[in-house]
Amino acid sequence: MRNSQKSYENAATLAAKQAAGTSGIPNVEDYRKHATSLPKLSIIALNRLGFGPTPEEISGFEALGATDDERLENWLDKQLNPESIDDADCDARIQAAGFTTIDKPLRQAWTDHRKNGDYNIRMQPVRELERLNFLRAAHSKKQLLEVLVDFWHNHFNVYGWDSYLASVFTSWDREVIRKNALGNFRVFLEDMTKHTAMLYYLDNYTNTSSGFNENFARELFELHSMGAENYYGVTPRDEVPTYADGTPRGYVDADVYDAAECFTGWTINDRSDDGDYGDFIYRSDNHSKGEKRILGVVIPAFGGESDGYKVLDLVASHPGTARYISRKLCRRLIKDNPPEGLVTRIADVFIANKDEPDQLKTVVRAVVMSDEFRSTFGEKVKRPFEMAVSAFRATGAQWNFSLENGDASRILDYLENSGQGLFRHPTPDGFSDFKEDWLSTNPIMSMWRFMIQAVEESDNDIRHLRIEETTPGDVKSAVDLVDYWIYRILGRPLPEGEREGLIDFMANGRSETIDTLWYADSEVGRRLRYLVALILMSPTNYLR
Amino acid sequence: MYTSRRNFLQGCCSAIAAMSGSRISGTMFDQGSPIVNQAAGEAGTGEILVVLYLRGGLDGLNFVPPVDGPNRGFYESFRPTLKIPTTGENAALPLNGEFGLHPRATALHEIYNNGNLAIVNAVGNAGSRSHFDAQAYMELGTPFVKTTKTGWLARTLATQPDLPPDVLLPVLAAGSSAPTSLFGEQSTLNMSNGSSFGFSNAHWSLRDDLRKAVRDMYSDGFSLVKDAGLQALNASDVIDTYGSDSYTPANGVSYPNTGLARDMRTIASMIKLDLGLRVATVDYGGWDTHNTQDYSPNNGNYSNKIGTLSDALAAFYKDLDGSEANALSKRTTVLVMSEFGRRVRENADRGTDHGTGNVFLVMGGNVRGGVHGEFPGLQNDQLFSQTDLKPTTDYRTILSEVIIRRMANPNIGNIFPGLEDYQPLNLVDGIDLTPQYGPGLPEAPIVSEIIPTGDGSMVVTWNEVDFAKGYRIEVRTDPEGDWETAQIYGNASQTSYTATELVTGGYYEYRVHAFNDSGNSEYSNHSTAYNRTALENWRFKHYGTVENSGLAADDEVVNENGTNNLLAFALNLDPLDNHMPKTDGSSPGLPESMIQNGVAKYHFLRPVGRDMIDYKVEVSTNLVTWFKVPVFAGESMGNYDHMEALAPEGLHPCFFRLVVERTDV
Repeated sequence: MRNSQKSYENAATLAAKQAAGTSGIPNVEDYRKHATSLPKLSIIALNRLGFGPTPEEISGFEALGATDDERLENWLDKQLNPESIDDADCDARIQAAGFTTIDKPLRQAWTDHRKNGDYNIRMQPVRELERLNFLRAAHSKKQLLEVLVDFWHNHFNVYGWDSYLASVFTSWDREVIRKNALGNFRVFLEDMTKHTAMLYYLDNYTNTSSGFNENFARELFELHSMGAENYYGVTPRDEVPTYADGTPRGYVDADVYDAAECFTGWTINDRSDDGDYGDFIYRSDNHSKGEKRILGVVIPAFGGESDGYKVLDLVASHPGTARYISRKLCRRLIKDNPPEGLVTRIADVFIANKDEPDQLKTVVRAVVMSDEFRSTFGEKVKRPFEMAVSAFRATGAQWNFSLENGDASRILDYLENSGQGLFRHPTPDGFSDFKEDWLSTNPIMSMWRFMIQAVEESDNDIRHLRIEETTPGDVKSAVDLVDYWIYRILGRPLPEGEREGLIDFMANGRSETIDTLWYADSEVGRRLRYLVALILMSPTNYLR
Repeated sequence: MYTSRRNFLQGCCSAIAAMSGSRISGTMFDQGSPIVNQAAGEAGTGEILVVLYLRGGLDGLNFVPPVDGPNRGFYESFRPTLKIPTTGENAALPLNGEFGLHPRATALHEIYNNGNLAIVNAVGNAGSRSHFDAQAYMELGTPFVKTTKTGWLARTLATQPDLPPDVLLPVLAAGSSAPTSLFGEQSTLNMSNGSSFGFSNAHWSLRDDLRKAVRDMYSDGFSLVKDAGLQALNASDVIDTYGSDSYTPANGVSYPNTGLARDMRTIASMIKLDLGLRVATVDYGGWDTHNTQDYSPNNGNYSNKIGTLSDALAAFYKDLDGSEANALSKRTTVLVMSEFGRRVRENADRGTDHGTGNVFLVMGGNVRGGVHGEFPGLQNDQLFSQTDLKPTTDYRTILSEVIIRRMANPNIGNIFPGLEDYQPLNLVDGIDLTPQYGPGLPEAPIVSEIIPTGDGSMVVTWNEVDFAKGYRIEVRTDPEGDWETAQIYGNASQTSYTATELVTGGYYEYRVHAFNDSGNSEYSNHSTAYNRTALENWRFKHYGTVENSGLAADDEVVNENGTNNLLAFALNLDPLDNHMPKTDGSSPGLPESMIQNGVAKYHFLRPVGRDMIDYKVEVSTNLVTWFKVPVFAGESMGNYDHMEALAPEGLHPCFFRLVVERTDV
């Protein structure tokens, strides 16, 4: 009855259709999602349990059930079992980068990169791992695993760019961090304590009965398990308040000193008469044989290597550790200052599962399924690494991250300038997870520069971020281009005040709505790339 | 006395706007440049504090070792392999007979000999040998309290009496991130390298457009992110305008090629730009010398670092030095500190473990040079915890003396809450203002937003203020009217107030002040809101009143559920005959909206012969975000075509608008 004279297609629809590979009726929810300040649960989940949404992942999430509960639970179950996720695209990218060190067992890495080779050879594993983990964060379907890997790398922070331990850093990532990210915390502690990277970084390899080095022992309490919130300083042991069962509520300097004694002789096999394999070795000659006391428990004399395991048992099961780890996970996955009621609930889960092999998986599940998770958005900001990775995700980057790719080196330099280069935090506390620490001029300006650089970098005139190439041909007017890319990057609308400036930028004095032949105009192509950079730089894109 | 942060930012923006277009060259580092001085206002006369933090725990005992007396003997027995000799080519440089300076600190020794370096022995605040605790306590300025939300430098700036409201660059943190001492100070500019700053890597043809688009986005509303983004933009405008590549140090100084020296050079260049710099910070890390501190007394990691530190400090001082009374060195004070000293006894790895008391340096043209502080001795029973140099001077007393005498800021109670009975060590010249103890007055809160909830209430939110005991919220309903107390809270962490049972459409203006035992803070910014629905706000914004305007039209219809929330707008006139698109033969006509079979529709009549005009229909659920929907042409009716636009199925309540635009001009 009516002739279709001209039909406009909605930009959001186009993006959704492109993702689904179908054309169809606009999804009502796409229009509605901004009716309240809380975005859809898919947006919340993909921003906080992943490195930002893509249209494909939003529709994938939405297809997982009829209710928010169902969708989140189904998505989470998959993500918590990453071995079941097909990751062919990411694997292909890793393959294409041609890394050679990332699968080497510790002893081989030690031989190839520590005992032999010049500085470049020694640093090759950490340089490859930096690229590998960036690629995985950007392209892996196992998004939650990558978020947790980043979390635990910072929790058990090791400065990876030291030429001594750089050689074994891919092993640290694989055999300590990834292996345990969803595992058991007590096992995690033992693996990290005994790994060459940590033995070296916090000096325990020099900790002997004839010369104590308390560096590791102190950080084990303060940063890795109980946290400084449970530190009672130089207080005498018997003055520390206790729980009902007599367990002290915190640790004191004396515990640190005794723990250092317990770990004497735990060192690196770097002597030729022992094989010089570069892995953990316990040297009983260097072990302090006397009686020790940790958190109120006497560790009898002559315990040998078992002294250290007992320390790990005691700190892993202490209620202070449960609270500290739970609070940090809530801080990472929900908001900077999570409510104490939530922390208590999660800590209870941590303790109840302390002997389970999948303890941390159960804990993460409890955090994500909490009411607080789904009712919170925008109280955290993306840190520079997350900003960088989300840019790659949103634009469908086709960037070869081999060591030889100079553009990759340059873009990683831009990230490093922000103060958050991977594995570059020098002190054992890891990168801060509080938004205030990333909202000063330097990190902000560095990431703006990163976005500008990223959309411009090209190899033989082929841009690494496929912005023009992946913009549908029928999205042509300034308004359509702006809306299309807003939806594709954010999966949700931009506040009008932010969107208006983008339309002005894209229209450049011309009509905002007219269809154009702009694609013939290279200057317009550049403007489109910078439009994408601008959306990535928008205040809204910082929120997660 | 308190400068509201928002005022600061606005002042900053306007000052930059006033400057833009006045890009200057050649004279940019000429102190007499009238343009620069004008931009900086009167700030150029202020004192400058440079805080150099040695991260990791400097071994002060080998930096300033005892060279004579009984302590020399104890020192030698505690440090059999690491001791600094008193004779030979690696001998300590002479200070006051009792102490010497590390042999690699020759450049700094010269500053000392000229009387511009004060060395304070045995400084600390015993309690933690953890790097993180000790740094946090020290930089927050609150021993044993790590939950303080602002750093001591941030509080110094917040209470600084002579800080003008429109300083361009009051705080510079050289390096990649600001230190904890500046925690809470949003005007900090981080700069690791002046030439790779701002939008310099963008294509030249789009740089100005980019800058404008970013400023547009960040100027919309107020949030933590936007506040920080605007600060970054302001900084980038300053650096883009003035640059620092061409900086030539004074007095023939050549800065060494070290990271620390480059940072000090950046600070010197920014001081000379006269943009109102009052505080600069710089970090120099790597002092955690648990092993292989040195291979020999003058060779190795530690000695090299002492050399780097000494050379950078001396170059900086000489660069600022001058004979005239107002030389920059005379209004610049450099503080050098570290979180703790190291164990007196060296360990088995030629290193030293975490300790307590340490040296603290103060350098400047108004410094009373010499070795200060009480040295407690190195005999076993004189040590702290039998292992460490016992602290005899609380670091806060040194900072307080510099803040009072050099910065002329007496608000010690606010900057170092809990510090009592401060006694100067006479390290610097200046007037002894009476210290203001107690927490002092709290800062004024900042009201960030008022959100009408749509059901007759609105929520007023402000920031938590340090040292506040509570807040008073005041309201008025007439812009000229009297203020009334709406609520008083006695809890510093209660930072929002919900007003209820408000008059529909009514005007509400709120302000908040914080209070504590010392009294009331100044009032916050005023924040206003109307108690309106989203629809009423839209009409107000576009028509100027809540009533319809004669120039545009809207049509509100009852939807199937009987609620009044489907609305059609037409924006802009038909540019060819100066009236609205029509729904019938009359002129101007109203567009119409309706719901049929669950689909919201929008009808209008399009005049024929309007191919050059774009008739676009958009739909929204919230009047904020709009999406285009398909428009179909139906039957022609004389001079008009019937036009219909459809919302997606099921999408209502919703709002339509028709946007009319010529595409041929």
